[in-house]
Amino acid sequence: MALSKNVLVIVVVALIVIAAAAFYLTQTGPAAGGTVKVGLIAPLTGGLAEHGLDMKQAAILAVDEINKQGGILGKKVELVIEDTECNPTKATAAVQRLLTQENVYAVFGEYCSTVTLAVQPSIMEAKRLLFVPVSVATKITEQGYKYTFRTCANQRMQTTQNADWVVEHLKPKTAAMLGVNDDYGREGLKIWGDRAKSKGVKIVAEEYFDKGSTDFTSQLSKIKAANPDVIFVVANIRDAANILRQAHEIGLYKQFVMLGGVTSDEFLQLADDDALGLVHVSYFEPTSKRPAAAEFVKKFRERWGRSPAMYAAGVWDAFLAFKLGVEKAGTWDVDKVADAIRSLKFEGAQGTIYFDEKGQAQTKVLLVQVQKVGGELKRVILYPPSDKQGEYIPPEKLYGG
Amino acid sequence: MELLEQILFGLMIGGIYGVIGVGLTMIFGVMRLSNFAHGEFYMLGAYFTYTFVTLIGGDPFILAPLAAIAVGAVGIAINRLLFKSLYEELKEVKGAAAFYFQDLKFIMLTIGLSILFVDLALVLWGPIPISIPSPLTKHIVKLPGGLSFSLARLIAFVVAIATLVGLYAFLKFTKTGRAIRATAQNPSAAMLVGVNIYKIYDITMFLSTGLAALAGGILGPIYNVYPTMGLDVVAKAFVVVITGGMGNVIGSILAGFLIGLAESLGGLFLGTEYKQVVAFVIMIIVLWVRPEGILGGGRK
Repeated sequence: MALSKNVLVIVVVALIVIAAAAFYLTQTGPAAGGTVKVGLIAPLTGGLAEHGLDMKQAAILAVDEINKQGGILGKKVELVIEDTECNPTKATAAVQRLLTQENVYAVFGEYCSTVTLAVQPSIMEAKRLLFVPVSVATKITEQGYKYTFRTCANQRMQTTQNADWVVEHLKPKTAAMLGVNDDYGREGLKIWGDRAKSKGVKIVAEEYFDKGSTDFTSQLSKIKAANPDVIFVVANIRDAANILRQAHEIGLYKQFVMLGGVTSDEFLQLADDDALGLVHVSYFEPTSKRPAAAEFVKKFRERWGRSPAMYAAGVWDAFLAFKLGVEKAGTWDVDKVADAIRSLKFEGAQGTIYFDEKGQAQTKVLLVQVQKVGGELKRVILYPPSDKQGEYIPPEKLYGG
Repeated sequence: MELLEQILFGLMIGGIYGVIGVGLTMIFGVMRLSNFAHGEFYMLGAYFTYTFVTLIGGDPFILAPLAAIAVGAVGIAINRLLFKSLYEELKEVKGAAAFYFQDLKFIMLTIGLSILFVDLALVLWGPIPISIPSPLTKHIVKLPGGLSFSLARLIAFVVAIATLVGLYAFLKFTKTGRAIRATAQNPSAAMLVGVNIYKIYDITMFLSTGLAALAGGILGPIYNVYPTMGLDVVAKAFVVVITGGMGNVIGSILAGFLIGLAESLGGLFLGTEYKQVVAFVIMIIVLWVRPEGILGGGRK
């Protein structure tokens, strides 16, 4: 009896010591050692794996570059990578591991907005930094968390800038809109439509299609009858390719404009010549001549032997913001670092980057047009002037009358 | 003109709904099973056509029938390997109990097959959508008054109609067709007069899966090919089958056209966001007024 009581006391004491040690370790964070750990969450397997790969390669490259330059405030950066498969449940478990076992100072990610929104509260509660390089849902930075920073344009910004460019440069009198019948499509059409209407453009048709549709002739036929000057479309690459092909099939050769989701070489393969003339948003083009962008592309190519996609640029800029923010604060105190990042202004791969009060980077998105360059379909940058590669070609010139 | 265009495209899509629905309704009528993997045979037809185009070369519209035969062979294999033993096991069970017991097992089995085929396609052909190039999709037929559509779409429609007419003639006028209809009416009686119903099941599976695959093969070049494309059509196929009368071939063909047309006109008059809803509303109305379907009630 006495013996077992002693054992019990020892066990309890041991547990208290371990708990206290764990508490001490989690509280003091990076000050405890010569390295600072950061986590990356991305879809590395499953249907989005190709985009996850871009994020992973950019993160590895960025960390190596930082360490080559002597780390941050004398500390080496160590990267811990977790796969989420774009699944909120998996991502939540991965983030818990990053926060409690790996004790990371900052988390970078994710691709899917639903995943970012799912893991955001626990990271904020643990008072760690969250850098969002890819997810575009407007809500992520609208909630006003102190430790959240997004290094890419959000849905509202890219849709508004798209509408502004279209109104200013194409000067349409009327516009039609076509979108997928879910929150993404409906939000996109509302923002674009409101913006265009406020600038005097008349919306003559607003059509929707359900997820999984392959035939868009009903919608396009109505749009054709309404005879708009431009057609704004919110769709994934598969639907976008079908929409353009079927529009041309029924003789609808007006100017189509789309969002950043179609920025991929797979889309150009799928849509083929029907993509010709399409104007859409891109956050980043590897062909950009701007020095900060060219430097990033050169390093990425040297390391991985391939061209980075736009998601890689978002991750690269997030690590830049992290490094510059800590250095400006001169301390690892998370509140001071968050304040320092808010006062940064730097040249990133995507352009000049600075953050608003809510942690949203104020970046300019690129407007590109699909044109034939040397017999091949290429995205040619039309805007902004600092990146401009070519002139806009109206559909009448591309397709004849 | 807009109305005419909508009617035209509605009918063209209706023909395809008919071909997909007819295969599903045949399996239901003859073999008394709800094949939830029907859409995956449509998907396999498209991928087989793509594979033949890359391996052999040639136009997808010529290779689609070949893909249909290959997928039909897969259908027979599934019938022999999986369905036959179930039918034999159930031969002794009689009455209503047999029907429910049988149907539940088949539903679970075909849902499993559906998931298996989608995953298989993901592994074999990858998640990125594929386009099957054909000069016929680029060739646009122009009619007076600004109406235009691709030659591929016209061919798809003609093939659909020819297939439906051919199938009807086959079932109506050939000996095998009669045996299929006899099996649909009463399998035990058909067996008594010397019909080998397992052979009839083989033929039914071949026709049903082959028809779905043919639809996939001729639509692949018009739309794109991706692993979950079958899941996107299977719900519509069931709507067609239920509206037309389960097991009724002519009913399915009519329902296919009816729903294709109704979706187009519904999109025009009600707004395109209600396009999908229109098909289901028609099904509900038909079930309410005529629960056996438009042409339902025993006739095959």
